[in-house]
Amino acid sequence: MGWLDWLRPRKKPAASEAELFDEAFQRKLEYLAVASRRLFAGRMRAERRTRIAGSGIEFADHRPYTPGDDLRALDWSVYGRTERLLVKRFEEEEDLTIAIVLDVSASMGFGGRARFDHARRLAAAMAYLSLSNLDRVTMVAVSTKVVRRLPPARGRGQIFKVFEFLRGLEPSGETALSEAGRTLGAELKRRGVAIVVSDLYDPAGFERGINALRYQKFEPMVIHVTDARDADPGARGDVLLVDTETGDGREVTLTPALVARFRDAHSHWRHEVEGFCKARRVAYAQADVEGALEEQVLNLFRRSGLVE
Amino acid sequence: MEWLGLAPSQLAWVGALAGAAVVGLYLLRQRRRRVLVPFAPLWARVLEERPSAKLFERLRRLLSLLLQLVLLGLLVVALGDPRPAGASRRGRTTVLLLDASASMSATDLPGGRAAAAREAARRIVRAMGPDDRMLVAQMDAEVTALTPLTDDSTALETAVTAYRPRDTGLDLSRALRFARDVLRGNAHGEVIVVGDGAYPPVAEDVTTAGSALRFVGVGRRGRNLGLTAFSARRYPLDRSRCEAMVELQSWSDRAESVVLTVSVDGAPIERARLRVEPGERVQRVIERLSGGGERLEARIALEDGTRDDLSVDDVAYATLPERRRARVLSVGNGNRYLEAALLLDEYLEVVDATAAQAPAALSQGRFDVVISDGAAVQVPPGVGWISLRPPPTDLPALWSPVSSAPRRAGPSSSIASTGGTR
Repeated sequence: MGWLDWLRPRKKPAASEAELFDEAFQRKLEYLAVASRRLFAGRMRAERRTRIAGSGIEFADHRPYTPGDDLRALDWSVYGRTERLLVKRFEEEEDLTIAIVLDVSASMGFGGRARFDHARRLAAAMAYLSLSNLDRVTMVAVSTKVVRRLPPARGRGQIFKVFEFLRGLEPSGETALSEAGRTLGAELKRRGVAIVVSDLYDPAGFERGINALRYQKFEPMVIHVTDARDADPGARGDVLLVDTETGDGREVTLTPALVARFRDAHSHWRHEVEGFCKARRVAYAQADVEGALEEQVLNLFRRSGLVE
Repeated sequence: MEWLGLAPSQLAWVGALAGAAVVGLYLLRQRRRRVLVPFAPLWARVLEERPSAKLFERLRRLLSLLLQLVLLGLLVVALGDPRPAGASRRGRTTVLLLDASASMSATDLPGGRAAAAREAARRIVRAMGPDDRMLVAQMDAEVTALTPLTDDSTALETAVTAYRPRDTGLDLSRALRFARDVLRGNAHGEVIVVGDGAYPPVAEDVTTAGSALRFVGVGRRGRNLGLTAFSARRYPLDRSRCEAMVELQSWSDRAESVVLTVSVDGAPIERARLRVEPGERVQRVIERLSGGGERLEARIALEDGTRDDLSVDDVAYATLPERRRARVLSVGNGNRYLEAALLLDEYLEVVDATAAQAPAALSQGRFDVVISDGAAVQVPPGVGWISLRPPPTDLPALWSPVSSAPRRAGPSSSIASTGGTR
């Protein structure tokens, strides 16, 4: 029995939840924390420090005394040496807002539900890690618009709300990640980390979606959900290629040479995405649907800087 | 080439309409197989980079259209059910007559004429249409049906395989009458004769009653000499001795030298070297032979040691007539002149009887001849009969369908007559 069951003994996890996190996986996730290169202001103290002095215990620096300052903050030892009234400043530990943006467009449901399920597990894993570190987590499902949103929550006990949220999603519609950036910017007063879990098949360009988050003062992180089957449709001969999201068709004669060219183009596009993120210091990781979830969370994310 | 299915004009219409449909569908572009892809813009990138491939795809589609039209053309032709000329009459009834005379044993062809006839017959059987029926018969001195009228080609081919030539001549008239009887009432009858063409003249009354008659020849003119007649008889005035006559004929296209050997019970009594011109018929008489009941054998052989194409007619047999007196029943009322004439012949054994005694005499003993003088006698079949001064009132009752010619005493001679090669 996992400790989540121990937290909620009256409600046993459903089968889908058990698939998302088995007992061993849950134990490993406890020791991971979501990385953040920025420090954000927070209303509650957590395990991250701000540069603004506060009531923490870690000394930061001094500033001159002004009337009205708390006399308890005066550094008497400095006054004794220099006869100057200085107030000690401490780094205050605050919580971090993490928005997990899950792409629920139709392309995420391509080739069965493996891609979508894998993305949901990844999102759940990230949510769990964040909640374990006392971060504030909000979930956003987005296709052409924000389809559904889970309000910010804090504490590991909220993970079950996350599961419920993820279970209620179905892939449909087109991809428009930029719309997610705009909506988050408007609805979230506090900025933080935005973890995008998506296949990045955005007709408007994946760059626009990531840039939209950056322009809204979020720190985007990209988990690129990939599937090797995307690079080869499997069919040969005269076919009508139909886009899963838009339904647009294009008559093509699929030859082995053409498929090989497409495979190269697909690989090139993935490198293009990775290069774009690196150039903008956006944490990026590819998560293949065939890969082991634990491996990706524990090792791949660590290497890519998503987790410490 | 004949069309058993649709007529050529109909085929043209069907072909034109179907071709138009295929071209129309091609122009409309048939719905292609739909293949879902997660992100079509990526495909667009690749496809825009290769415009030269469009020309190849167009050519490939054109070839595809041409292939479809070719297949359509073949289907249309199949609707016409084309068949070789002569094999297309609907619902034919065919009598296939296989020549089984001795001349079909000739070896002028590889495997012999019989094998060639079998192969020709198989080809005819395999050309049968689905509505055709056939009867296979072999003809020699008699006609033997090997199958009933059937459309079972397997049974027909089996019968053709079972066909074997015999050492007899050929009665073509009988065979054609048989075929006519089989085909009576069939509108599409046909008689096919497979043989070497060495046939005797056909009787004038023989027709095929409107059915087509076709001849399929096998064999070729070869090198053959054959014995066409061989018999022995006693001299009329000297019953103690016999003479034998042998006749041979050449069907070879060049002069041949042959050796004729005549033996009595295996002992040669005559050996002669003969030169026979092409088509010549040669007779030779061996005189003054003694004995009775012995077997005579005549055999010819080419002088150069080779064999002709047909060996079955190179030997013939005969039997020397038995030496015994003919039994004569003389029925009358004591005609002394007749009695005297009969008594003077030492080779006659005469029994006298009245008309009333004649039935009892005929039932008690076998007679070769019955001579009635002014008396009515019921003569059993097979007994010769000479009637002198028949009673007028009894004439109608006296005539019977038996021959009035006296039967020659002694066993009949066997004569080999085999027709010969073409």
